Amino acid sequence: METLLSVKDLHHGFGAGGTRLEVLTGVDFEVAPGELVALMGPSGCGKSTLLNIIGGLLAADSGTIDANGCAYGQPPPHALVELRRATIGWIFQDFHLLPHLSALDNVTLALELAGAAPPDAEQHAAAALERVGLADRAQHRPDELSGGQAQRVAIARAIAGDRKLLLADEPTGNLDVATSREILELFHELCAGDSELSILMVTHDAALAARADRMLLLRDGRVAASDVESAWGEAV
Amino acid sequence: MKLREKLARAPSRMQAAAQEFPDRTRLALLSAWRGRSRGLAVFAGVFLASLVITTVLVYGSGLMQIFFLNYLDDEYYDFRMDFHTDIGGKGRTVDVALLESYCAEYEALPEITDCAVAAGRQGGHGAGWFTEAYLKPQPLELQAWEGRDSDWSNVSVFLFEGNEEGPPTRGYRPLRLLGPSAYDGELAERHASRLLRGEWPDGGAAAVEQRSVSLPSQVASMADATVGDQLASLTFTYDTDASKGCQGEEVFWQQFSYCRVSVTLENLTISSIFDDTIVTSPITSQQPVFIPWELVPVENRSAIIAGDHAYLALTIDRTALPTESTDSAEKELDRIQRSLDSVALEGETNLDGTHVIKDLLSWLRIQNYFIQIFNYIVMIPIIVLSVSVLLYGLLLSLEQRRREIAIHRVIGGGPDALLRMVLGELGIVAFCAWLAGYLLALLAVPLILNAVGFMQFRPGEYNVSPSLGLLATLATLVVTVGLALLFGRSRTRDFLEQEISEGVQRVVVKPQPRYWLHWLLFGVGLIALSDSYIESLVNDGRLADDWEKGIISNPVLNGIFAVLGPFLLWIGGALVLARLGAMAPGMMQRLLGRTAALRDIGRGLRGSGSAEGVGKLALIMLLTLSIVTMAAVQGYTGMAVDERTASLAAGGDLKVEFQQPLDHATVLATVSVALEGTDIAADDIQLVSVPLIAMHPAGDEYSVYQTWVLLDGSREVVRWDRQAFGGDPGKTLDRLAVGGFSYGEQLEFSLGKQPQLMLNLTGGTPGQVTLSNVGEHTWHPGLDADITTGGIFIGETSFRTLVGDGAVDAWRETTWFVELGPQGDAEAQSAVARALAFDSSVSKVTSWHEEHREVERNGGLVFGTLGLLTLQFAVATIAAVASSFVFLSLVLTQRKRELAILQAIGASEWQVGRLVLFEIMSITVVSMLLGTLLGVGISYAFNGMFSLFGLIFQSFGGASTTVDRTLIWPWGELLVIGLAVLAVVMLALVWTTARATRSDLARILKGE
Repeated sequence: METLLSVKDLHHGFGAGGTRLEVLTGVDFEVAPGELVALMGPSGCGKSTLLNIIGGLLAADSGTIDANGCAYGQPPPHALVELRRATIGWIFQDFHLLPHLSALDNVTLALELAGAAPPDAEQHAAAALERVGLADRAQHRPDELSGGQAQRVAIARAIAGDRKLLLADEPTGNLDVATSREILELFHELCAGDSELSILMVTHDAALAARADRMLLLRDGRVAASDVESAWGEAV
Repeated sequence: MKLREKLARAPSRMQAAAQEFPDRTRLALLSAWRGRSRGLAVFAGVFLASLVITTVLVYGSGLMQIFFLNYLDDEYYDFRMDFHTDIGGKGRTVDVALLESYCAEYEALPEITDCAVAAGRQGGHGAGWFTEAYLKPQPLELQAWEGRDSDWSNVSVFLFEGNEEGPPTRGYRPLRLLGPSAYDGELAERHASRLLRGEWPDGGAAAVEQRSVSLPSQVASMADATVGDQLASLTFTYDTDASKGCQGEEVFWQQFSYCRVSVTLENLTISSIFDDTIVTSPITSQQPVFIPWELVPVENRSAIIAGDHAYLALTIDRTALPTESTDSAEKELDRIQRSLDSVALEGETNLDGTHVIKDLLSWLRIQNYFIQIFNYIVMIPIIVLSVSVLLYGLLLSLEQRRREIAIHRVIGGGPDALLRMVLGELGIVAFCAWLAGYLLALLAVPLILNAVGFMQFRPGEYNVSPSLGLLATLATLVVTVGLALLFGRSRTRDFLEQEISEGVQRVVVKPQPRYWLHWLLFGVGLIALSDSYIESLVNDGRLADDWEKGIISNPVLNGIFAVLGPFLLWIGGALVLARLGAMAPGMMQRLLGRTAALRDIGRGLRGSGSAEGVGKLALIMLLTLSIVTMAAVQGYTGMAVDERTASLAAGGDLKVEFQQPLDHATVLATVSVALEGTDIAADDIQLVSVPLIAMHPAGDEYSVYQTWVLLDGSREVVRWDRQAFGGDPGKTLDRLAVGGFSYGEQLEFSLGKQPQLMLNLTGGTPGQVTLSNVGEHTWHPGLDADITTGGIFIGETSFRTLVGDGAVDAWRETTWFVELGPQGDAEAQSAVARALAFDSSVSKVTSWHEEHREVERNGGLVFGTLGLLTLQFAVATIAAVASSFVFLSLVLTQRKRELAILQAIGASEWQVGRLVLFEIMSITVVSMLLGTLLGVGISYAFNGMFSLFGLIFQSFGGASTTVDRTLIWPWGELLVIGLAVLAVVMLALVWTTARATRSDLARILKGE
């Protein structure tokens, strides 16, 4: 199977000396192109830490990551700018849109930061907004959008640069059930599209995770299972 | 809870609070230390507010000390003991020895440092105004004198200017007789300190043996006398008790009758010459001739005592006198007076004490209050600025605690406990800041009091120890720390309510700023500015006199706008223009968005100015830079006014008035002699006079105009200024030189509209010239403006046409202006002036530096203004630098999450840095430029108010002509300050941005 993301023997801990806590103790897994993978686990098991390391926001203590041909893992975040520009897009629980910019500007800025010329960037941004169904909200600012709409803008920002891998940290955490389902539907659409986008999302919602293509369970710092049945040891 | 219950529980609650106080203080200290970065904004604001408010209060105390010491220094004596009753009453004595012996009684008091008999005062007992006891007594009057070594025949015994102060006299120069104790101890030191030449006799016996006489310098100059010369005789008169028959001459004057006795002393020796330019209390005689009392026959001395001329002169330890306020000084003097009055004297003599400067204290108090009011008005902008920095800093730092407070609430923290936590930390930081500002103010005030120009100091001139009373100190604490706590309490309560409302999903709506009010303030300020600007154009001759009253002609309204307008312009302007400053990033993006510098990040600048912190940064920049500009402009303008004031008095480096008209060669020779001992060469000096002639229009011999001739040399010698002719003096002098005339204000009606004038010389050889009108003149530096305003000025060419070259070259005048050349510094000027003053042909010398020294601290207004403007400038500059640093840190801390988002979506550190740099620098640069512009505006606006006060102060000081405040623009200095602030902002920006971009992105995005 072709691999978009490969994580090998990833280790990471916090603190030092007596207060040292090893959160990741050898994580290994892969994500194929076009896959929607849910990452679950008990609180404090390191899900967000793992996501942050994959997303280039945190440096691992040891191990390697390969995302679409780009190898990293230990370099610090400021050395992984190109990764975040070209390969990995982020979707946050709190949306993290820039409050003083419109939806279109939020998406366009991400493209311009990556080096796109303003006219092209605007065009691609508009296309991305249309893809997520928000073309009619392009000029609205984040405080004028609903939670679901704001998250769609964040998704548009993440996909606008033809990024291959999206990392979503509790993307539906602040949304109601219906809107969460809509977002998940959108994720499926994006993964099934021509661009073969892959999405790795952290979630506490088992029902949501069940609707992913694959589920990874993180326990004791490692991937303990990759499907629901073997993760919980009984029928769900 | 009912009040009764509350009161009942109060003691136990207070006990509990006292027990918990140490622990709570410890926790507050820890919390303050942990949150020191956010506390910096509060510290900066409270520190500035404390510094400024304390300085203003302490400054008043320092000023009072300086005035007090100045006046004290002028007086020889501190107390005077007079008979309690009038002539013929009980409790008096005529026994000379007995009166002299009373000094020992008074010197036994710890406060009294010296005592001597003196005779010659005027004014009865110093009690009451315009009563017989005040008006009748006359000084010891000089009647005649004869010199042995020089000709005294033309030395007048009259001193009519002695009538300018105190009760009226017959105008004779006074004599003062001094007892033997006046020639040793404190009294001898004080007399000796004023000597210009010679020495004060060393003891009473020496004074008698030398038959010493000490002369005022004017007398010595008139007589061409020097130390060691002899007076063959000196005759004076005194008034004595005529109740038992007059032994002298009965004289009637001003409805009073006198018994006047004459005494002649012979073979006196001039032992010293003293500085007679210092004016003392009006109840002692002015500029007397001093002679030992023992030279006068004892029977005459008794009669002098009987005639109420004699008193005991006492001195105290002036350094022990409390001078921080007139009240404390007056209380101490009253206490000493009561001690003196309670001394029981031998012979049942009853003497009353009067402290010599008592009346002056009242006047000093009034003067100081007036000056203090003006100082408070001048300092209002800087106080408002300090409070603004305090409040905005508090706002920003408290914003950072919003989440922390919410978390505490969630885990069970009650509102009272949270409030105590926040206020405890705030109180610690504010108290430390208050203390730092308070102590720095106490150290800085003596320096500011020694400001002799804008940002120019001459330390050591006044050694004062200003202090603040306990009440005033507490007041500064309450105002600064109290304000911080009050505002902090209010804001924290808002946070607590918001947290609750968020919990029930209610949205707190922030009230929109009242923009209409900002515009109203700005509008009113602009009207005041326009009015002031128009008036300045008229003063400068660039606008017709029809606009003299500006756009507000009503004097009451004009006064209100002049005083309030500048403040409204400043506050309204800052609020309105700050919005413009906050829009700078957006404007930058529109202008430069397509350039390589901004192409990739420009979009991030859109709408960034709407953030509250950024808006506050723009506002603080505007407020501080406008004050910096205004203080610098008014400071340099004030210095120019002081220089012009000195020029108005002196005309040139020196103005020499001779007894007789002299020609150029004679004057040159006289001045050359006075150069001895200086580095000035005779070839360096230039002289010019202002010939005064009379002219009349052709065919009208009865309309005579006083005409002053501006010789060509006056351009180099006389210190011309723009106000002399209402414009460029050089151009006007050029036009006068080629056959023009100017007219004074009094001739505006008759000559103002005449383009040409054909004038004949009045008297002397007939001569006629046709002159063209060059406009109105205000004054000629060095000449009395009240007189020149009624005459005309012409140039040398016209003068030569009228009288001929020979007459011009040999012209004689009594008043000459001297330019001493490049070596003519202050010291040289004073030396030459002093030497000339002793020349017998010279009646008066005025030195530019001496005149300037009298006013150099005034800034065209009142003593100490330049010091205050220097303080404003320094504090505003510090505020600009410190607040930009502090606010920047806070703003970037607030935007840490935004910066992390940018990095998460692909921005590099360099891109984030550029974004922040362009945003903050654009706001800073635009706000600084707008602040400078606003500063230009308020400089004009305040100039209206300062001109008004200048008129009041100059009139109060006796000036008949007021000097205009023509604004000076120190662009160089302002550029340096602007660049310094920008450099600090850049530094702060680079440092804080680097910190922000290297932060833990994951943690920040998580909201931790």
